[in-house]
Amino acid sequence: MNRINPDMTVLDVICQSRQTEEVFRKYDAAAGVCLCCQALFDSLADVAGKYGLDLERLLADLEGVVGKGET
Amino acid sequence: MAEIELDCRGLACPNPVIKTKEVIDAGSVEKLTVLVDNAAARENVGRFLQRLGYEVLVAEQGDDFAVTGQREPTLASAGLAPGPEPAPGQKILVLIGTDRLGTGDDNLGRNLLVNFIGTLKEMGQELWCLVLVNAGVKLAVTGSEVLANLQELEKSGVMVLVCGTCLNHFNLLEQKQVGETTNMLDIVTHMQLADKVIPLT
Repeated sequence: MNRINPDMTVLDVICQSRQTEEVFRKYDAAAGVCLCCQALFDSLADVAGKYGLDLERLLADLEGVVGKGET
Repeated sequence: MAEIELDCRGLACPNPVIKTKEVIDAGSVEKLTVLVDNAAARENVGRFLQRLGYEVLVAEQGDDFAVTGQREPTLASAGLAPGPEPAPGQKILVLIGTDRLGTGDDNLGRNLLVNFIGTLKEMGQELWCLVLVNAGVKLAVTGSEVLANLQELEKSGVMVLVCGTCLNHFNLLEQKQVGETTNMLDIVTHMQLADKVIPLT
């Protein structure tokens, strides 16, 4: 089951798993802004639409790190 | 736990917000001052506190900012039973899901809505939040007849939230001129925090 969904905000995702912060940092260049600074309260769907990011890839990348290092 | 000061200087986003959240989650906080040293942290901490129902004040302290959030203790945390009447100074949220008021004649409906938005300020301090969804987001973009009214409301302290999904749907994300782009979770949270919700759809 996916733990990350497009309606979650960037803050929701980071609060669920701190490791996701690095994923957002990797998308900063493509977005052209610091996502954790400018889009913290935006949903992932809105972030993807606003900054022209691939939502499915972003979700997959976030899913990839959620839970890593947590027991 | 009544009053807390949190030093988040030297921390980049999202850490000031995360630390603020941790403090609030740990106990009932009536007043919280967060020290930050950059504009993004100032905006985000202020916005976060506002979403939780805090009144937010920002004070510049040299190169730093003190973001203070204060809210009344809840009836439950104060050990009081809720009274039968709502307290004066209630927080009213107006949800606007249309660009015209009523049905029958679209031109009349559009004019009525312009008049409605222009008259909203008569609610005074009780008008807390304006949420624009569906065709309502067209009111917040370039060319809107009520753009100046909305900007004036926002300047006076009214929170204006604009549905991001709706802006995206109408391809208007880049044309938004007022308010914060927001999502459904945020809208629902604000409806829950409001004392009264007036839907206009």
